[in-house]
Amino acid sequence: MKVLTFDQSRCTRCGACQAVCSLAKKGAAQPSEARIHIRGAEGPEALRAAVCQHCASPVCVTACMRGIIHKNPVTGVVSRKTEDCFRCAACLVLCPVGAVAFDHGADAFVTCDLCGGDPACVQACPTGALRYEDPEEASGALRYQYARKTLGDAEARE
Amino acid sequence: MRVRKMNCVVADLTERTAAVETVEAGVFVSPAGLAERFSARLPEPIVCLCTGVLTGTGAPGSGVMSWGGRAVPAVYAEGRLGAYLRYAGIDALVLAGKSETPLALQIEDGAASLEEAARLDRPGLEEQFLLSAEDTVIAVPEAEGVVENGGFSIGDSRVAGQLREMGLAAIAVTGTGAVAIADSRKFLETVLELYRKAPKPVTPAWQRTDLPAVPYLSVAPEGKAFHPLEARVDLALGVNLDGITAPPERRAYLLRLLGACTGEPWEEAALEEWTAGREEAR
Repeated sequence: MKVLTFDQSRCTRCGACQAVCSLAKKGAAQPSEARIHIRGAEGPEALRAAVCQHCASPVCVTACMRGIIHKNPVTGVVSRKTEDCFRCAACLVLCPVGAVAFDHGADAFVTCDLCGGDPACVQACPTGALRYEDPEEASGALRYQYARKTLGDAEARE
Repeated sequence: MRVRKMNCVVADLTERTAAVETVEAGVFVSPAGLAERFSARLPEPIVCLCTGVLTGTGAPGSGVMSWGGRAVPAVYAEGRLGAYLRYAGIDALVLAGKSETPLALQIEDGAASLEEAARLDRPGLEEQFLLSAEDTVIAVPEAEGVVENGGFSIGDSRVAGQLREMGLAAIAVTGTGAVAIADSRKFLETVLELYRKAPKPVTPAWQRTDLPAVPYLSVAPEGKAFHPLEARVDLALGVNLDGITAPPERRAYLLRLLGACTGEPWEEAALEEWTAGREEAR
């Protein structure tokens, strides 16, 4: 399964991901209700993407009192039947990455569904800070990036 | 002539009143034109901030807004304030008169009020008026220009000087609403096409690039901060397509965006109205 990854060193905070997500999911430009938010983490220079990670063992699936959140065993995508949501907010409170948003139009809590495998935010991201890729590829790039930063070019290559 | 219903926040700093009024104006109305409309009943000086039809829609470069009035130069700027005004349901600001003590204009999802500013420094104003870290924009007139969250200048030193002279310490906008798009599927298609055309960094995925922040929805970090009001028709409509497309393709994309956004067909002739208006003004 591919995952949505975020490289903060490429993020220019332009807000395109949020605007485009709301266009795709709500049919209007409304960044406050987007399913992805770029937030500051531990200071103004550190950024993270608050977006559903489609966790291996999603706590929202266990927490949901209506049992409307499911993890697809084949694709790994966590999805929900929003029409049956009774807004208890258990998913919102327990989500470890703060990825749950409230959609006033649907009157329900919602999360990123990866746009069926071609996320609009990734297509829009003008710098490639958001990518949709294999986890191995993503973690390899992150490891290399960290090694370069801490050890320098030559040692990182070894 | 195409007309547009605009929700304007009319703030009279002399009387300390702020209210929302809806006016019908041409699609290409300039802030100076809007100021003229209100000049009969509001005290001088009048400074206006206008958004375009496409401001805040999510299209690349759609953070464009324009300043103008009798006492300030007319300029386009890119930033968060115009877009968040539209998310708050407001299309323009009409700021008039002078206050003896510093005031802040606070707009919260369609409601406007003038409040006494307890402190005049940016941290103090943020402490008083920042309602939400994610959904509030605070623009503060400082010596070098009008500075909004993130440190971007959205108005030059002359606009900032005029606002300070009027006694306006800050404009705080909280917007959680939506900018309606008539044909969102077609609009999104065009928007994604434009984002894909935007220049990308050439460094490989594993390399840190530490790109600098850019103004809201902007894709051209090295672009100019301000444009003269005579600049281009796309800026007049609230979007800066510089660095993404060039004429004549730019016009074709603009017409597609406008058509999908408003739900009405837009043709080249409609854009000529702007050119004709500029020449007439000259």
